[in-house]
Amino acid sequence: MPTAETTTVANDTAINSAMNGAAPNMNAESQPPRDGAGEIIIQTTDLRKVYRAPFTREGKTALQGLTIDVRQGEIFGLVGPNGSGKTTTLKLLLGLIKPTSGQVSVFGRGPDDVAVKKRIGFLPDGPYFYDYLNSYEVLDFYGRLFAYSAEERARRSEQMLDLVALNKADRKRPIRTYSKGMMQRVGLAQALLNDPELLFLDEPTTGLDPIGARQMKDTILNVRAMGKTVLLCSHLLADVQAVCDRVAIISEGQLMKFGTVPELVGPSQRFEVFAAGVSDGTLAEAGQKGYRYDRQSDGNVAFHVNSSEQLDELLTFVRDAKARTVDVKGYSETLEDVFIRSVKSDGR
Amino acid sequence: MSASSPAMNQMAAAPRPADERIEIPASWRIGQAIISLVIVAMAVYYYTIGWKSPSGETEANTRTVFDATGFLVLLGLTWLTTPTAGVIALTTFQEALRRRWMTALLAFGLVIVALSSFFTWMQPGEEQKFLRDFGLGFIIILTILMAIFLGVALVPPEIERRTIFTILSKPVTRQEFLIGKFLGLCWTLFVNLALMGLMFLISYAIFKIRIEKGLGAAMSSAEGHPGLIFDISNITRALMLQMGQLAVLSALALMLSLVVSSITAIVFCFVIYFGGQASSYWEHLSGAEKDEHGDHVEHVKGPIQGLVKAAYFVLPRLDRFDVRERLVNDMPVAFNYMWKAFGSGLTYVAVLLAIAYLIFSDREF
Repeated sequence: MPTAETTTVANDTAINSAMNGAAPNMNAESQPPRDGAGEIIIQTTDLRKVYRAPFTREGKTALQGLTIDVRQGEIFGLVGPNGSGKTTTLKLLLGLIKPTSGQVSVFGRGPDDVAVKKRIGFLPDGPYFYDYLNSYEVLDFYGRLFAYSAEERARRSEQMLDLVALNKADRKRPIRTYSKGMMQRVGLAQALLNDPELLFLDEPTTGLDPIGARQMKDTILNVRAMGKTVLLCSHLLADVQAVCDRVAIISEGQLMKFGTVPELVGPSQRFEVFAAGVSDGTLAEAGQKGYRYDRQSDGNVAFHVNSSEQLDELLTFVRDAKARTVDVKGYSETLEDVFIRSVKSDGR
Repeated sequence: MSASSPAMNQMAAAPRPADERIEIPASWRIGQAIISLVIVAMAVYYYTIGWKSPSGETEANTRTVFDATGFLVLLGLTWLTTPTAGVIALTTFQEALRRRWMTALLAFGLVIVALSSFFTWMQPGEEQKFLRDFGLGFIIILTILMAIFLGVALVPPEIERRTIFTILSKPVTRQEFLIGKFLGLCWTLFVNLALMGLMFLISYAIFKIRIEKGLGAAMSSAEGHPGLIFDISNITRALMLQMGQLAVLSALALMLSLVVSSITAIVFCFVIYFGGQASSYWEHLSGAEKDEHGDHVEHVKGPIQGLVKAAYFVLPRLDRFDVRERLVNDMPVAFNYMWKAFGSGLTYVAVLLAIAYLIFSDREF
């Protein structure tokens, strides 16, 4: 059943911000354009992947002609139900598997090119490391793969563990004693170790507590603010809607929807305005104007309108009636609504 | 995760390296050049005087193409080992050492080898020969178990635990990963073999000095009883040959683990090990030998002969690596004999690693 996201705002600017899904704590000036206008750094063309068991002709089609592009400086969301082809797409982009047909390029090269791998970071879903190592040793190992000097490795390891806020007391414990959330933090640290230009994140908030999940979202936004690109796979559509610039919804290996978040979810369709000090006369006038309203238990009145034009008129009406607007809530269609509709239209 | 931490700011400020590839340091290249010179010097020595057996020994006085390919394989491995492969090898070594069963097996091996002289009562009058046979045999069995069980667990757990995802998404080629894993296992086995071998040599020397009633008597080579130096030299060479056998089994276990399940790979490894140990019998049965008149001797005929011949050519000649019989009979293990075993063994390793790479390069995770 579709659900609606509720955003509490204090003025019209904030309403627009909420409608666009922008994070409230980000400095607007530091944001790159959210319309995907940057240089294309990932391009897939008619990408198809069929998994075949050895010595058999039949196989399972995981991806059917996927064509997407990811542009520099954006956060790109890849969403879809289980088995839709998200992880297959990610693996193709990382060169872990080869396409059956179609083309994939990352930074204009093949994904298994070592030069490409030097510029990317990858956080897999449920990362796992050599469990006898501690977090310093894990990051030291990955630092060695980038041929960093011992000093550089030590500096970057400390820096990354600070960044992911892994408790100092836990850093020297073997990884096998870590919780899922701690493992996820180390996973993010190794993904960011080489200061990547392109970051692949597969279910980054898995296993994190609400504070950790929020910090992860903020970190992703900050990575974008530094001009880096993020490709994010997640089931948590509210997170995707909150942080992503563009989203591709795939189902059964096919691209169902592709575009910016506002393009996919559309503008808010329903608003509630809470006003205090509304007289009976004003309410009668509101009824004559066709506004729907409810008297709340605290004495305030909740007005309901169904378009942004009606919202402007209502706010003017409340102000002219010498009443006081105390809250405005915008109910928009969410990515989850779009997602469920897309997937259902696919016959699932 | 502190979203706007100083760490994040420092990360943003860090300059990007201009180069696109991981540069191999000059010191690494110099190391590779020095190792290559040593290999070339060994080849020169072998092809001038090293291939000839010591006086009274004629068993290995021939040169085959495998002698040369052995040197080429060593050179190839030297130059294919990049710093990245070295990092993978080092981590493989560290991981192996921290396995509890490995530590337990090594401790057990060290204790048994140290106490091996206590078992000499089983062969009165031939104590020294028994000790050489028992000690070396025990080390061989233990290290072979290590090679097979560690070898089949080199790559599959990386895939199952998905650690390979984060490794192969770093600047690591599949070739480097595979060579690193192989070399890491070889290094692990070398360290275990060296520790147990050293313990055995000490134990043997103490026993010999005790039984010969003094160091002077133990050192002197009386008629029919070579001195301690000869024994130690021979045992050391036997241990070096065992390392060759371990390298072959490691490559075999690694390759098989990429094709079949771990259990099946272990079974195949043991079958091939015992088959390889019996390769002189395959040679004998296949008729690939001549009688005193120079005629080929046929022991089996028809399709069976074809099968036996196939077994002889496909199986590694592992019996060449096991020189316990020579040790028991006080026969020297000469350089030419050793290199013959290494040459064919290294060729086998190269073929196995090439097959492993072909499988692994197309492997999907």
